[in-house]
Amino acid sequence: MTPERFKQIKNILADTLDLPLEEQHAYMAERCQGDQALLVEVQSLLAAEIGEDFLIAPPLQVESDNEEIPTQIGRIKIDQLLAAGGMGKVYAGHDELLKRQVAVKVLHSNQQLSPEQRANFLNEAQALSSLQHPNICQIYDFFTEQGKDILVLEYIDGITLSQALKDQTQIHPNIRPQIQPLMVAKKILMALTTAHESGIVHRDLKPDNIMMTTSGGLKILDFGLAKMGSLLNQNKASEPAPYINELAAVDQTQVAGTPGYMSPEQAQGVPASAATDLWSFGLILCELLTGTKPYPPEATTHELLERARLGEFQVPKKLPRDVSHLINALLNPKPQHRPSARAALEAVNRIIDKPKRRLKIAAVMLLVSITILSGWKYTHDLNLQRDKAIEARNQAEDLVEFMLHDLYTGLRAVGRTELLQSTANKALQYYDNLNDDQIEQKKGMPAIALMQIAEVLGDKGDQEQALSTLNTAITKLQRLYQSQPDDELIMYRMADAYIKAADILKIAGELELTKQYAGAATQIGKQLTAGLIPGNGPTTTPDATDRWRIYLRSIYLHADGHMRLGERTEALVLLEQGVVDAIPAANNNAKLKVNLADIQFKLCNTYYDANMIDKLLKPCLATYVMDRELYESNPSDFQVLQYFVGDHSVIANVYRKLEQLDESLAYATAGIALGEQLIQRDPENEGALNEYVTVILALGRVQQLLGLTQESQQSFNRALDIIGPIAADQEEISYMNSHFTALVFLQRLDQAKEVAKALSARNFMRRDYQDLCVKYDIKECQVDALKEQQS
Amino acid sequence: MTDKQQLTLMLKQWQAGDQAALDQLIPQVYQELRRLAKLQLNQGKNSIQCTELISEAYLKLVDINAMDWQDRTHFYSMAARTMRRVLVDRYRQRNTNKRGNDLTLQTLVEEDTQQTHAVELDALEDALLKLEQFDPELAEIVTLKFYGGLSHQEIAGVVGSSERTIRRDWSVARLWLNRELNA
Repeated sequence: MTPERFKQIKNILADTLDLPLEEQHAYMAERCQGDQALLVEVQSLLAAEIGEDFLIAPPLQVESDNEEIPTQIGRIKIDQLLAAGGMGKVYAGHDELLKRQVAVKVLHSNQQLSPEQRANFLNEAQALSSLQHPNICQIYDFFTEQGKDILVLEYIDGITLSQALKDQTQIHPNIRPQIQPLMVAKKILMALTTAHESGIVHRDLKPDNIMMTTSGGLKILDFGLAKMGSLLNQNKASEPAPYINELAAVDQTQVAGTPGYMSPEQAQGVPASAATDLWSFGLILCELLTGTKPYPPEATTHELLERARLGEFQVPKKLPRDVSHLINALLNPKPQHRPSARAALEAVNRIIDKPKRRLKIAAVMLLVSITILSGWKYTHDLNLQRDKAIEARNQAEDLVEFMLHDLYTGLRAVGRTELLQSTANKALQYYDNLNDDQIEQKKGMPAIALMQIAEVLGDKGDQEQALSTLNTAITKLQRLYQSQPDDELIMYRMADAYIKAADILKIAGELELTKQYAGAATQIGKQLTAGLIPGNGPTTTPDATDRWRIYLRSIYLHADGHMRLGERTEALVLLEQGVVDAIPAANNNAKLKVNLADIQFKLCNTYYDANMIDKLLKPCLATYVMDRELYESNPSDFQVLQYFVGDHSVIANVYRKLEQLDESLAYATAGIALGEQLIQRDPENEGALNEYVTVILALGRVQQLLGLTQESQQSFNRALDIIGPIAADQEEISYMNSHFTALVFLQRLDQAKEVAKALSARNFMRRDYQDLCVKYDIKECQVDALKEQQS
Repeated sequence: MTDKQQLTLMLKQWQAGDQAALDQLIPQVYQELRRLAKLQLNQGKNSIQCTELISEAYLKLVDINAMDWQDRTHFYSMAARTMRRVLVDRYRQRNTNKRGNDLTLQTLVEEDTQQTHAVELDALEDALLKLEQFDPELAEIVTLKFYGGLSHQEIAGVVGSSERTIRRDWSVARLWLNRELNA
């Protein structure tokens, strides 16, 4: 065959395969245009019988098991082997009589129990089967057949927690919603509480014994079976488990448990108690929250036992205080000092139920997300699954590409990103499971997609989910950044991620973290702009605008964080330098004007709050002028208009402070007209409505000073009508501030005091608010000392 | 210079067009893949997971700090070709033994475990060599996917093509090889 001929065949065949089956035959004939030999060739390629795993199955396979799988055990029809372990084999089967799926554990024939041991074990099995707890794998039956002890257990479709932890960065088909570590911990504790209070101890709790089910549940396996294991070991002294050799002096019967999760008392040969399970749980909790095992990966069995004996496990420092407090209590070397399962459950519930704190945990901690997969572990044809996974990956990436490049920008412009919610959720599940290599190949692109998704979620008001998504993205990027700290594209994306995180954190009120992330972005921004002419730089990504935008935007956010915390001096230092850098940058690069405007705006606000009236007008007017230019060139841009309306209230208030009341009235009046345009475009947009209210309030205040009492009362009433319901619905500080101002001027001081209380609880410190508090003697307000003015 | 650094350097030289560097590179990668494959089978795994082996070899042999993702892709494509040699050599050796040939050959698994092959690697190799003559790129895609375990997307990166083309080419290659092997 010639290459040309083959190419012809290849193209026809590939095009044919792209078509639905029923069209293929006619298409082939048409394409071959009477070339009968060609048609025969193409048809014969399609006709040859092909195994579904042809070239899909790995090139080399070994038959691992010569033993035949039994077809029937008791009344149970056996389907397949699930696992083979030290104690025996586990099969999946079907109970013909009760018509249910079961797992059958067949103990090795040389591992039989003596009659007393069997009775002993049966007692516990009976107690256990009476529990019927949703988080405990049920024991259905226990009998002997052909000299083998056989346990019939509830069949669980899912994967072990240990597998789930290992796999969390891989992609799989059937990606299910993730489970948060604290919820996993809670379910484990619910099972332990019930079992312990019925006098049953697990003795060998570890991630391998915890199943994450495909339906999103959790089941603990092998409850009390460790006891049987130790009894069996006693029977066959000739073949002790390897780790028992390490402890020849210890009473062997008591050493049941897995090194690594084994408690100090087990390592010392003291009988296990309920507290033993809580030790193991402490280690699992640690692993759930930090994603790493609480001991060195290369530790030998002996080292692990020694560590357990001494109670030497280091709790990572990065955990929140209440969590590390709980882990420390659980890992107390003295069993009697550990909390009970119920007490631990209560502690975990407290941690989960504190929404504020939960937000913080989500923000500062590496959240381990666990993906549950449908029967993945026991699938016969792993490679087929893998192929499906690759297909799923391609589909997800196409979806996200489309979402990010086509839909996202358009929808964001009209403030309708919530329409992307369901797509975002799907993409999130997918991207959340990409591993570092995959992130690296794309230079962090998937992490950027995650950031976008976080923004969508943030827009939609789902702050918690947004924060946790952000965290995943930032963690992935940080790893990439640390491995390639000099790659400018990665630097840029890292900084961009920090900035987006800071934005969302600011909305969530996590201001210390806002500053931290913004500060980190500034550092990268400095590196990216080092030695460049202001506003200039390369033309490829990260280009000049990207680099300077990172630097200027991060300064703005950092200062904003300071200002919201009342740290005005720090904010001013940043902003004054920011203006010095931003002016030449914006002069050389018009795209950076918006960043200069931001900084000027923030500077204006900060001078305003610091009551530095002599410096006030310049940056405020500069912002106004720039926003006016923007507005004139983009009159239809909603965001630009919103900013411009905001500028009118600010300037009106500034002139009021400067006692130039005519100027103030003029700006306020012009602002009202623009504000009406704004809310007409999107009558449901609460941010825009508040912007409108702010300008109405500025108008009301100047009207009052001009002696236009009736007009001013009308203004304040109008403002209250709009902002009242919004502020009642959403506790956002700027809405509350507008609400407060309207109430004060309408002399509804009792209501104003309630709002003031809520505002001071959020450390709200804006100047006008404070001045009103002083003037009307509202004690509920938090008022500061204005140190800047004196210095 | 450590072994890792040396190998990394050779990889860079090969990428810069030095074919002699590749000749030096392959035996080392070959040895490592052999060793890892043997290890995997001795650990009781019942199939050889090529991507896993190559990733492991990559971490073991190469100074990852000095590599970017393009280097990595290059390594993977080279390793896939080497893997093809490892497995085909091994297949031929074992099957010579079966026929009672006295040649003393190293085997991946010392004890005589039963092995099955989804495909006869011997016949596949002949077919691939034939395919290489009129469509070398198609043969390369098969090598990267079957012996290297690379995804369509990764392959697209290596051969400088689109994912869609790879998917189409792969379907055709699979059909062609299937018929070739059944003939």
